[in-house]
Amino acid sequence: MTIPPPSPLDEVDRLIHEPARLKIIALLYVLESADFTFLMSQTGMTWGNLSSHMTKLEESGYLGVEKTFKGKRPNTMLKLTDKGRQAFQTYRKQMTQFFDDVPE
Amino acid sequence: MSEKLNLKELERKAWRSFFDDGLWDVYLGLLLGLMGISSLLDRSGLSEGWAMGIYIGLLVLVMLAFWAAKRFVTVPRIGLVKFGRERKVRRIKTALVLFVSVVVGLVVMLVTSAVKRGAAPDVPWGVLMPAIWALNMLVVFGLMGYFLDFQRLYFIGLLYAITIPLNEILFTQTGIKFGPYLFLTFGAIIVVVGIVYLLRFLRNYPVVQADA
Repeated sequence: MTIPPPSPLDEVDRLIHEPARLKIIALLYVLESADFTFLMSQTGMTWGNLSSHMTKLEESGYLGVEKTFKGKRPNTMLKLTDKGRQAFQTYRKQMTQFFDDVPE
Repeated sequence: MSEKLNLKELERKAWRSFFDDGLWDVYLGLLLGLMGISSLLDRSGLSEGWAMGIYIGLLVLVMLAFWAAKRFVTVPRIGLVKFGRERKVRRIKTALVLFVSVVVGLVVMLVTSAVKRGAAPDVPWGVLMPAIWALNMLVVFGLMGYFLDFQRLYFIGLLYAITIPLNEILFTQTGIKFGPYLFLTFGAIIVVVGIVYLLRFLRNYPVVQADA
């Protein structure tokens, strides 16, 4: 039995590949930072759903948290870390390469 | 390539969501309407001081209402965001355009005042002033619309621009000064458009209950 050669898809970052997280990361990639409410309004996710994805991304070091104040109320701004940006760029390249290699 | 475009579109959608609340339309419509109220106050027989005082009071009220609406209506629904460097540069360009516009506006005001006192040189100010006003409004709103990526500003700029020239044309045709009513009518049109957007915004973006 011959072992098939590794496909670019085998190396894809599954943390980013999940559609909901991809949505969040792509959005944060084009922004400097955003709070939870903004991410909810743009992605259409519920608080709990967004929160669970955020936790995973934060644990992986892709997401940084910045505490600010909205008037007198504390507010949490979220941004992609350099590691997260790099991971997203790599993911883009891998996916682009994969689809470029797919015959018409 | 299409991937690049999609990311750009994503950023653009996020940016434009801040104009979805219609509050800028309401604010700019009220400012135009206030110009009409200012003219009516001038005609009302009130002293210049009182007329100016009432106008400034209303102006401050509109500005406060705009700030409060953004703070208490928009932000709780849409959240806070910081955009990238390109948007910041565009904001600076918008501020510069506004600054130049204010300078042009002040010059126009001073010349108008000189014309009223009969101290201006003998040039056709009746034609020149409306032309300068219209050009200033078209350029300013056009550039702001472009830099802020906010298309409705072109329409608002057009309504601002035609008000004074239209007043002059109607005056030469009928002998009646429609000025204040034109300002109020065009201002009301812009406000109505803003309210429609605001209602749609309130429906689409409910207040978020939980906290991060």
